[in-house]
Amino acid sequence: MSEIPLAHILVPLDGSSLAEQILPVAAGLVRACGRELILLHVLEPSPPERIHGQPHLATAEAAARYLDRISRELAEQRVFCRIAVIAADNAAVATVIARQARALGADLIALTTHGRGGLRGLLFGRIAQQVLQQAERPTLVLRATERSVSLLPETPQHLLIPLDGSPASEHVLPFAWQLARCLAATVTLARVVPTLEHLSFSESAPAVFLPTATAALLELERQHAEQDLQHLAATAPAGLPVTVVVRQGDVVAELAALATDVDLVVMTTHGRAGLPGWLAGSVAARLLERVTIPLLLVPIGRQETSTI
Amino acid sequence: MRGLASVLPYLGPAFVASVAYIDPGNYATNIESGAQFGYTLLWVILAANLAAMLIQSLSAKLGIATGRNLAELCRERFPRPVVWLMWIVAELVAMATDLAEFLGAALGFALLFHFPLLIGGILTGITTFAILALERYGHRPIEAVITSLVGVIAGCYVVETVLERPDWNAIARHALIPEFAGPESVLLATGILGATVMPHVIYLHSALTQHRIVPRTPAEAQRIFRFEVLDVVIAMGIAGLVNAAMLIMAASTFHARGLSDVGTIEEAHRTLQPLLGPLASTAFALSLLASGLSSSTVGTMAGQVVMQGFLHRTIPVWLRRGITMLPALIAIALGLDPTRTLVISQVVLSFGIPFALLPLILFTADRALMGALVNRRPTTLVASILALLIIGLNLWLLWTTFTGSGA
Repeated sequence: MSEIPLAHILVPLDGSSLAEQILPVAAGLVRACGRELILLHVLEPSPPERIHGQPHLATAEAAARYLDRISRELAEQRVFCRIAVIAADNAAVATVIARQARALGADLIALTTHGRGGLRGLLFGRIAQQVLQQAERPTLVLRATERSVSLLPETPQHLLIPLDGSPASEHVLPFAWQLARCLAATVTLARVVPTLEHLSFSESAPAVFLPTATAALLELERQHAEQDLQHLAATAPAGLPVTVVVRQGDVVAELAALATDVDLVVMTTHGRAGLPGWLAGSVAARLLERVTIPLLLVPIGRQETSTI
Repeated sequence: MRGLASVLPYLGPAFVASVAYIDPGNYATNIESGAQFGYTLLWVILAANLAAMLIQSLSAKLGIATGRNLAELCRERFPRPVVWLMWIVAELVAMATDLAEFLGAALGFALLFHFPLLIGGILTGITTFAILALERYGHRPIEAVITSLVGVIAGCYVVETVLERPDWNAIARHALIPEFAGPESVLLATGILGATVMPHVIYLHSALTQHRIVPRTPAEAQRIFRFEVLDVVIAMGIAGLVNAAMLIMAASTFHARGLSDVGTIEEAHRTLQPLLGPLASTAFALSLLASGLSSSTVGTMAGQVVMQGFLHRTIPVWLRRGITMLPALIAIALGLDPTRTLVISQVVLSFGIPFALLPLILFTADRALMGALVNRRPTTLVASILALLIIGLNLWLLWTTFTGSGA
């Protein structure tokens, strides 16, 4: 069903309100572009009593009751849910989530991540990261912040798509076009070209010896970037409003600034090193720390199976 | 080029770049050469500079035309055993480079705080790791500090030379007329060549377009290439001037007073006394420290470029850092004479030059590979003669070293 890129969205919940923060966006996406949310709780063999300062779901019954309550509240918003409680046994929570995503045919995994809240917080942050590496499918991540959780679906209206000039980063486009169309969202294609001061460490070594040539090269890159983005924007489906923007400076800072005007960032990611462009670095992770909106990360290679 | 006015905007950045060419290896070879042989080896500085300008421009051109660096092209075009050999040579050269940078910084620490050299070495190790860690997270203010420290001393040498009123006729004669004065002078000349051309920088220049865009039209490629030549010529020109000034000051401080044997790095601060007086020793130690630390960081990145290119493999930066500093720590622990070790490390660099230069000539002369930026015939000819001269100098040095016969 090419019209429904996100038919099944898997949402792992640990019972905390922090984890629930992903629900409005996940619900918004599924209501516009999909069929159902799969609310998943992974039972750990020896769960801590409290998580994120809230009572933890210790038994399968408690977990089912909790997921059921969420499911009923979402149903009132015309968001349909399936619930699943799975025992982790000895497997890592992230592995279980990734495995369930495949088993349940999820098109997207949606989860909150954060680095705060003590040891469990750290672990949950790590779980999000491991899921990203293992899941081999698009993952929606949102950094938990101090905000009140509502279960009202939020439908993203403006998507930001950062590209770095590498073909790998452009793999996200067919998926993004499809997503934007079913959300009826507008799209901004963005490219950040570094200045001499903002070259990555490894790129800065030749620049030490060739400063003016490097500056000239970066200026050339900016000009090319304009042309390339226009060209890519032309591949959008007819009627989809697409704007392009090229900024110069620090990649993460500029993207974070652009992200203040949008409500979802869609970009490619990968679990391996050795790819060209800033995707190879930790731009997604660093961007996530700087913004309060969710990031939809599409692993490279995914586009063959998820798009037209 | 439309006169000086069109070049002025680039002088600032190029001056900063010139500082990157001045490392402890230059300090050692300049001071030793001046102290032992007066102005005799000035011509080597000039010749090595012209050679370096040509070689670095060729390398930069290769990067622009192909979008790949020298090491990557070698991997693509040479049989595997050759690639491995070239990689091993490049890594040895990287180690020799780092030996000099590390030793220079360690000496800087030792001279500045009157520590034993080994403590200086350990401090250098800690500092270089700290710089790597900071730079990885995008903190580059250290660079500015380091550059200005080396820059100030570089400026001091040039000013001193002018104030010193040296014998300009003798300087001009020795700058233009090649002359050796025995096996030791051949060794130092080779060292100056290695310190000036710096094989790891040849690899780095070709890596400019790495992971970034490649010019799309011949006109764009030509434009970027012109900027590269400008960068290379201005920065190397300034660096050459400073190197010559350092040699001249070493000549007047040590050689002219019959102190040829005292001309070591530890005593080199005396060359700054005429201008800086009591500040000389601190200023010299600081700049030696700064140039060692900054070049060492650049060297580590160059090592990564080379390894990635030849082997398509990377190791963590800190691991490379740890491995390449070992020879220096061993040399310090063994109590080897620092100045001598520095000079020898630069001689090793000179032996590494042909391994980068020959493939560079081969590639840049290949029209299919280079397109519009292919070498003109005279360029290839001059570069080939240069390669022969460098190989000849290296062989001659081996000959004089093992037979003990003079020049």
